[in-house]
Parts: sequence; C-alpha cells; structure tokens
Amino acid sequence: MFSLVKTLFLKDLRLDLRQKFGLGSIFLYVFSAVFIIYLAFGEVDGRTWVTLFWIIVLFASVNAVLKSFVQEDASRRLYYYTLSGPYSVVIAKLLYNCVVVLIIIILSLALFSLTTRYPILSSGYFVLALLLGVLGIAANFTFVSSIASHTRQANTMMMVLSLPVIIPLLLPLIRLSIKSLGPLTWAMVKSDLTMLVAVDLLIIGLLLLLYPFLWRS
Amino acid sequence: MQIQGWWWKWLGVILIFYSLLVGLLVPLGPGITSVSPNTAKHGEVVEIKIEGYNTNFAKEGTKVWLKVKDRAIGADHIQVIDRRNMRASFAMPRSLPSKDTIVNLTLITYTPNDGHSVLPSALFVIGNDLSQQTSDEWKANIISTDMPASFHFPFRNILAETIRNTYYHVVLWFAMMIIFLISMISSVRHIRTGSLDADHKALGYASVGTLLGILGILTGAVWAKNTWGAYWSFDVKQNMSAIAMLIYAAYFILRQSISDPDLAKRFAAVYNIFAFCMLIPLLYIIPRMTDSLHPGSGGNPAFGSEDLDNTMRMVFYPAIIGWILFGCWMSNVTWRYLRIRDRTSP
Repeated sequence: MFSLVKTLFLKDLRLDLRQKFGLGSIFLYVFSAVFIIYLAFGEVDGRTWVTLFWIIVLFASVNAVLKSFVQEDASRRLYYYTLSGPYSVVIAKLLYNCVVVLIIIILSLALFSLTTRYPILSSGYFVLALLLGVLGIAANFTFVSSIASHTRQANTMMMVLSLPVIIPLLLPLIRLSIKSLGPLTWAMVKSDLTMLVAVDLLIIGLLLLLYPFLWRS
Repeated sequence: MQIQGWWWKWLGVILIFYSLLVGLLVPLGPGITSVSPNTAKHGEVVEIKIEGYNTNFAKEGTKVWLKVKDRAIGADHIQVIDRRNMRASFAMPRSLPSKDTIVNLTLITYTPNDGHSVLPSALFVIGNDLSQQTSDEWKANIISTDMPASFHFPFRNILAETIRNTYYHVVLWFAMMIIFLISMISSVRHIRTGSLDADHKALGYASVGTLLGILGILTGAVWAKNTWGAYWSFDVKQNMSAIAMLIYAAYFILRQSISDPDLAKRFAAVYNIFAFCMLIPLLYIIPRMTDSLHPGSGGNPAFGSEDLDNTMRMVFYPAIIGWILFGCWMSNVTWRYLRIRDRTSP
C-alpha cells in the first residue's frame, strides 16, 4: 500500500517535472494575478489583502488540480487502477495535490508580500490556517475534479461544482486569516480551528468513502 | 380511481389545509404596540398614551405598571379611551432602581379580559438620583392572575401578525431538509445497488427539495421585509441558503453534462451525497458562529424554546408533518414521471 502510494505520487511528480510548462503555467498564473492586483490596488489594507490572497490561491488551485486529472486519458487511468486499488490512487492524488496547493500558496504568499506588503501579525496561527487550508482545498478539489474531468466542459463544470461546496472551508479560513492580522490568543481562534479541522476531516472521509464509486469508469 | 398508498397523501393535504386555516384564522393575542411619549424625566409626573393591539381595555380593573428589573411602580391614574387606547399617569420617582442615569422601563398592563401584556423598553427615563438608592416608591406588586383561557397566538413585538409565517417559512425549511435527506439516501442506494429507481428517486426528491428551498427563501424574504426592513439584508443564513440552492443547481447541471448516462447517474449520486454533507456545516454550523438576525445564532436564543407557545405548537408540528408528506407525494409523482420518460424515450 505505502510503496504503491509512493510510486503513484512519484509518477505524478515526474510527469509534471518532465512537462516544464506545468509548473511554469501555475507560476505565471499566480504572477499575473498578483501583478494585476498590484496595478489595480497599489496599497491594500489587511482585510482586502487576506481576501485577495485566498481568491488567488483558490483559482490557481482549481486549475492546477483539475489539470492533473484531465491530462490522463481513460486507458492510462484504467491501467493504474488495475495495477493498484482505488485507495492507493486517491491517497497518492491527494498527497500530490496537497504539494501542488502548498506550492501555489508559497508562491502567492511570496509574490503578494513582495509586491504589496505582509500584513499578518500572528504568523503562527496564519501558518496553521494555511496548512489546514491546503489539506481541505486539496481534498475538496481532488474529489470534485475526479467528477468534473468526465464532463463535457471540464473547466466550467469544475467551477460550478467546486465553488459552492468549498464555502464551508473558505469562510472559516478567511475569518481566521483576518483575525491573524492582529494579536491572537488560543481562545479567540479555537472555534474557527475546530471548524476547519472538522470540515477537513469530513471532506477527507467522504473522499475516501466515495472515491471507490468514481474510479470504475 | 386508484391512488396507491392513499392515506398518507390525504393526511399530508389535510394537515397543510389545517395549518393554512388555523394558522391564518386564529386571532393574535393582545399586545401593546406603542407608547407615546417614550421619554420622561425623573421626578416629574408623566402621562403616557398607550396603544394596544387586539386588546380590551376596560374601565374596571385595568392596571398599568412600569418595571425595572424586578421592581415596579403602578400608575396613579388611568383613563381608558376605548378598547385599544388609554392614558396612564405616573409620578416618576427621583431615584430609580438602577446604576445608570438613563433607564429604560418595561410597560406591563393588566386587564380582566386579556391578562398581562408586556412592552419592553417602553419608556426611557432620563436622570437618576443616585444618592438615595433606598427608594420606597418602587414597591408595587404586579398582580399575578392566571391568563384568561382563550385560543390565540402570542403577540410578539416587531413580529405582530407576521408570527404566522413560522408555520410556512420555518416549516418549509424543515421539510426541505428531510426531502434532501431522502434524496441523499436514495443516492447511497443507487451507488450501492445500481438501482435505476433509486436514481430517479434521488433526482425527484432533489427537485422537490429545491422547490421547497426556493419557497422557503421567498417566504423568508417577505418576512424579512416586514421585520428587518429589507427583502434581502445579506444575513448569513440568507447567504448560506442561497449557496445551498447553488449546490443543488450544480447537481442538476452535472447530470446533463456527462454524455454516458450510467456514468452520469453514478457521478451525480456521489456529488449528491457530498453536497448534502456540505450542507450541514453550511446551514447549521457557520450561521451559529457569525452574527445573524435569525434566532439561534450569534448569541440570539435558539429557535423553539421561547418562540413557540403551546398554541403555536398545535399548528407548527402538524404543518411540518404535512409539508413533509406533501413533499414526498410531489417527489413520488416526479420520480415516477422520470421513470416513464426514461422507459418511453430511448
């Protein structure tokens, strides 16, 4: 199981590293989005900074995660599935997409902080929110893109299907990030963190439970 | 004419008719709508005009008090104009049983026909002699006689007659959740057994659930216009319910956008299960964490315990059962139509 997951994970990684435009396009996407915001806003206040940051991360990850599903054709997918099982495939996909979303977040954070500023005061809690957000966003988009990649207009359907269901995750993330603009104590963030962990667990649980019904296609 | 399993369909229809008839026809209980003037100075004689709603102010036995915390003063002189209007004068003491210099007083009236009626924050008294806190004036007893037995809905300030919307707006949301739950269970059955009926059921119930949801939003908007002042005030529950409708709209679009029909059914079922599970944090957890105008969130008391009295319960619970049964009937017709459509068209 573990070695299968590792092999499938490395397979995805190698595929993306071999096609240099994969990572390059994500980088360019984030860069142009940040640059447009910089040109349009100039100086942004804390709240706007946080909201724009999450919007960039959200839209960049939607594209990046969907890409990893669409680029596999049906016969290749069938080949992986017969070699391993649904769980190895989905765990490998989830881990790989976590890495992709994490790269997007680091890139956006770096570029956004360079062009505008870094307004976060409680960086510890912010990083915690980021990590929980990575897990939730990756799991949610893995789930939805494995559905959307079979539809006729995969890109549009990905947006239609994923944006309403990402809101239970996104709202506590944005609340927590806005709170971390100022000094924070554990008591102030407890309910948001609990909510985030609960939603993350719910999404990952549903992903593991329902993926076996999606892979036989 | 043969209607299969007819009794619960009749029960649903009868309960809905009952809730419409009783919910709209039973009169509202007596209540105080306004007091003028609503400010006074301490230490002077105040005469206020009290306007009631569905009240029976009587020359004999009507009493009026002003209350702060658990202390009260009675009116010195009461002049009843008609059933809905009266004047009451109070000799406002120089000191009030409070540590503030502006105190808001609750008005309580008692009439032999109506019993007690309460208007919170009826009168603001400006000035308070804090030096003499052992005031003897605030010692009136509010007589506690039992409410005269009568069948009516309670009068609530701000809500007034719109309290009847509890039987439609709240009930539609209850029924919607049950209908969506049945749709989700059908989806689970479909992905486990591949049964085509289960898929039709999932789609039929989801359609009717969406219809109830849209009706719930519309009845809520009308209610909000009356009580909060706008059809849509971007309250968190309003926003979240709009998003819930978006999720189900996405479900309907998903079914259309996969070419392989078997794949479309299975994927739609999986998305339906996922969507329902996301609905729970969306509608029941997030609104409790943020400020909201709705009861049961942001520090407002939860709906149910204080908002319903026994008279309202007699309409509220039958209405829920009625709408669930009626929703099931509608869904039944819908999914059987879908089955026929699938069988007749290739």
